[in-house]
Amino acid sequence: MYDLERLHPAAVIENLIRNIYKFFQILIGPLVIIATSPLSKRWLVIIAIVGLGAYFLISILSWYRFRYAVYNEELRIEYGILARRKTYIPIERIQSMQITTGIVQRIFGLVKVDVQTAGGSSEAKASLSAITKEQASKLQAQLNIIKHSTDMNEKISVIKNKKHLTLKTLLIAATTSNGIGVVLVGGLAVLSQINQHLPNEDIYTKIGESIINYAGDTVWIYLLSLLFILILAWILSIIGTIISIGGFTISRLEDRLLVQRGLIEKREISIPLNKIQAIKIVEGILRQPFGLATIQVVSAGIGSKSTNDTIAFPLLAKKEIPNFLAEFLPEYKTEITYTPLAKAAQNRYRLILTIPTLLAVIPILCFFNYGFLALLIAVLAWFWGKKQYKDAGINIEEEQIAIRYRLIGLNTYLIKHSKIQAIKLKQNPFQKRKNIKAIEVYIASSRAGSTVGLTGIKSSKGDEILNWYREF
Amino acid sequence: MQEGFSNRLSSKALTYWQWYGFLTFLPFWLFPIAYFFSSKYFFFPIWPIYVFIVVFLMLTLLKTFIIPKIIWNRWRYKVSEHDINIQYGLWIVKHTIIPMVKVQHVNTKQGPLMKGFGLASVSISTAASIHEIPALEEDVAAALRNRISILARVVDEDV
Repeated sequence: MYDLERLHPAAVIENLIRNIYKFFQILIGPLVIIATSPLSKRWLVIIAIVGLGAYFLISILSWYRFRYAVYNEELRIEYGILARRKTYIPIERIQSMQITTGIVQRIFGLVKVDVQTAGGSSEAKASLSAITKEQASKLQAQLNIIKHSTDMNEKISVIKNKKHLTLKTLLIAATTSNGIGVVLVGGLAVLSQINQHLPNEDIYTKIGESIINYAGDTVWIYLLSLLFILILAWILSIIGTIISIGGFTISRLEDRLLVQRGLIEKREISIPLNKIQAIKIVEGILRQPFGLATIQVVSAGIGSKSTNDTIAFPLLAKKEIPNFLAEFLPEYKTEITYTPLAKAAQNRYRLILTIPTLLAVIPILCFFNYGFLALLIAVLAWFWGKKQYKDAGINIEEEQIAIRYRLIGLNTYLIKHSKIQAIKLKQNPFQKRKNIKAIEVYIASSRAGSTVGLTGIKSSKGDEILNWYREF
Repeated sequence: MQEGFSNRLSSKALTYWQWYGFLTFLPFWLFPIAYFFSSKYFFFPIWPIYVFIVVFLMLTLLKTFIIPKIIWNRWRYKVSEHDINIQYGLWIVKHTIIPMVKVQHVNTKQGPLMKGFGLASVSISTAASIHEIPALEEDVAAALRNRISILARVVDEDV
């Protein structure tokens, strides 16, 4: 038999804090209604106490039931309050392991360990929310030792290469991240949530009215407040990025990559090399003029919540990339020449952007005095399409396929032959006449698989890729 | 046609798709019928009903005869010991290759209408995608499923 271990009791607190947002989401409606109704305020207190108490009890019970062990080359977890569940994860199926030190964990000197297998469902991962560091390193050793012989285990913990994110690069990364959009959208989401729970009339209409009363029709006040909101969102996104990727370090070990990051919540992700599905190089539109790029690792286990989790290095000068890959991922190559798209595909790229833009612009054209200025957007779309066409490319060399395409930023995927799950070639009658095809490469990723696609390659190139894929 | 695409779907599949196309389009006829009746109670003009009938008849013909025929004619598949090739598509012709090493599991499915025709479809899952060979004869589907399952097991490999 084997001994099942419990988590540290701090898991109860961790669990409570993790769920407190959910708790308020459920209860805020009744609470607001009671708070604004003439009913006695005593009910407010009673509901809050009963609700929190129930949550506390559930957290304790689920902590009590949750036990884990490594046995028979499996990570075994037993949990569940009413329905008892047992999850057995075979060790060779583990795609990645993440160690997080959040605030609660830091107070008690603990860590959180997430073990992830392929597939996006919650069943596919195991989360040990609070265990001691000794337990964590024991677990890590157990999961490794089974895979390798013991003398191998000595060797695999040696760091071969290591790279830190410098303060300067961190600041550049933070100021040029596109987190500003996330902040704005998140802000709007929160505001609309608040509005839903307020029983009386629309609070924002009131605020809007009072602003209009105050400002009248002086345009610059509106512009100024808009500018203020944008700058605020930008600053928030800078702070957010610094907190999330501060202290970034990547290390290459014998058989895996180790990525550490985070200022407040420290994360440490270890990805076995043979579980890496693809490398993605992203050159954001703000960063491209400076010749900067982000390197990401696509893995079947990580990144289910935010794409942030897959970052291999947040910011790198483009000319450093070949060097970086040589040090950390020598299996992948970027010094290759891309085969451009077929000439016949150029019109498709231009029209597919320009026509919808034109259609959207026409009403503006008709109804506004300076509406013709909107045509500039259509012209921009035309040139953007041309740029998308020019920047796209594909390459097969030895065991690697590289696909490069632009939406707004420029994305490059490097995929090993052995990690392609399937390939699909597509051709519609127009493309048939022009002798071009579209290709889709299926790779496993956190969301139960994704495709990397490119439209407008020569038919002969498509067939060449298919043969390359089939024959290896 | 690509070389090596020997296998077509069952000829019963065409009949099945025709019925399927016909039956799934049937509910849309509620729209002209509803218009017909409401034109009696409200003062809708009656003439659009003829336009509707012509358009809906054409759509029914399209769904029942033309589209299933094109799709059926296009469908080809081939299962070798190394990979599965499928080619299909109505407007866009798609050609997919799934290596045996990447097959995670394979299963057969059969809806009630399919059962009536003695047909079943085989769906093949990889770590990233699900591909389907629809409307094969039941025994062909079962044999294909078993064959793929055995071939895939020989070359068992993790993601």
